[in-house]
Amino acid sequence: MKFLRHGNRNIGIAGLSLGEVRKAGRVIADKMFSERYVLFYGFPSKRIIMKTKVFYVDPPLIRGKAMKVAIKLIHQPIVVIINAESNCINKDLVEKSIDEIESGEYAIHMSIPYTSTKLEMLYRKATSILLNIFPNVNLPNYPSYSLIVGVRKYFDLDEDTLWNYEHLATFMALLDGKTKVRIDDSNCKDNVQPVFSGMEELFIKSMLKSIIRLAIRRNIIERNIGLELLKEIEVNMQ
Amino acid sequence: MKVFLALSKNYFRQVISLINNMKPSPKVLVTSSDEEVEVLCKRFGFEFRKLMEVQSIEELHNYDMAILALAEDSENISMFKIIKSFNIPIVIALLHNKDNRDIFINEGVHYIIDENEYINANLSTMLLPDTWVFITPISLVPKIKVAFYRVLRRALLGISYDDVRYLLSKLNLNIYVEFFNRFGNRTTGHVLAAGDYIVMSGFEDDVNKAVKELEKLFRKYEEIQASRILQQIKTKEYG
Repeated sequence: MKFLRHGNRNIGIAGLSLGEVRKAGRVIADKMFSERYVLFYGFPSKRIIMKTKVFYVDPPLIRGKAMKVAIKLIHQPIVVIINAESNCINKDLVEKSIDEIESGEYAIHMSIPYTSTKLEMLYRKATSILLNIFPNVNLPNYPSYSLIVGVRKYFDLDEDTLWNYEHLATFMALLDGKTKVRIDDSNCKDNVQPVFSGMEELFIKSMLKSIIRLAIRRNIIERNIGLELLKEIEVNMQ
Repeated sequence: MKVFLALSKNYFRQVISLINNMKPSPKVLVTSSDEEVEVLCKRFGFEFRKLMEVQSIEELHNYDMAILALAEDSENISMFKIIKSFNIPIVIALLHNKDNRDIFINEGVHYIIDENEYINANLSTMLLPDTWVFITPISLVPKIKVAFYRVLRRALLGISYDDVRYLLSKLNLNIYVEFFNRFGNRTTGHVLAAGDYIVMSGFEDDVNKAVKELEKLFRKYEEIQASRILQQIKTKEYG
């Protein structure tokens, strides 16, 4: 199937990184994708020369913003976003998950959680709050994912977050009813960068707020109730 | 002349005042993600289209110029990708982050205006004395460069203007050098004083060469100064 491998598939890939690209660089440079980008959202120490196009995101250290920029840059119907610093991502995994989405089995496929005790703890707290509000919606179990493949329309949102954009997309997809979301664990661990320590509370708070704002916008909860919830979150999460 | 504008609200005033001064007045088509721009366009009588509609505007084939001045680099790039197929002969884009210059060139934007270059230059002349600051004044002619230098501590070295002029004349470069005091007037003294500015303009390579040589001169003077001070300090020997 050579004709499928040279930019003929309608897929764009973006690798997010703080400052260096490891094994995943080979996956990003693959010619199967018709649009390829590496996005740096940290402070890279030197100018990096790569085969793929390099984009520097402003403001730095905001992962949610970097994801939003990646989706703006890619004009293809299927979007792949990977953590370029991860050692867990290989070509087979990416290709398999793309095939699933192209065949229409799933709308969003995510894989490989990386673990940080504090971020996870706060995230569990937040999901329990959300379960009380939206009993039908099951959000993913972990605060962040290193491989996200999905249909572009679920990612094309107006809302801003600091850390996890993928949760908003899955929230929208789950509300759609017909679509399916698949979440995998590939038995491989990555570390959260020490740069983010101390910011976890702000990250989770902003995610909670933006999910509720999304729900208000789509008329899933009433405006007054939503605004009250937003106020409560400020108090509860501290 | 027909001009296509992709504007954010921050640049509306600047770009529109420019367009109003053009004679004969051009035909303008504006697109933006901001509501404010839509309102202002109605006030000024410009044609406005939403961002989503741009792809389907067939007229754009006949346009002579496009100016991309949206709020973010990513927006500018994605807008350029959309209008690429219309083959507009001149495309000018505003750059916010200087590291992204390469991606703009790769995509094929003709002229790039770096906004932060001016902010950065202005701030660093204030905050960082005794360092060279470079600016490309007009991005149409990228090879012409201006270098600024604010003297503060190095005024102690007592370097005379003639020394600098002599050094530069020996190098035979195509550059123009001038000295100003801190009030912006031409200096009348003989020696570089605290707060003086050295301004150098010319071709990029020539300016770079001259800056290198001047830096060498300053270092030499510093060495001489340091050795003089060392001789003054009396040291005792023990043992």
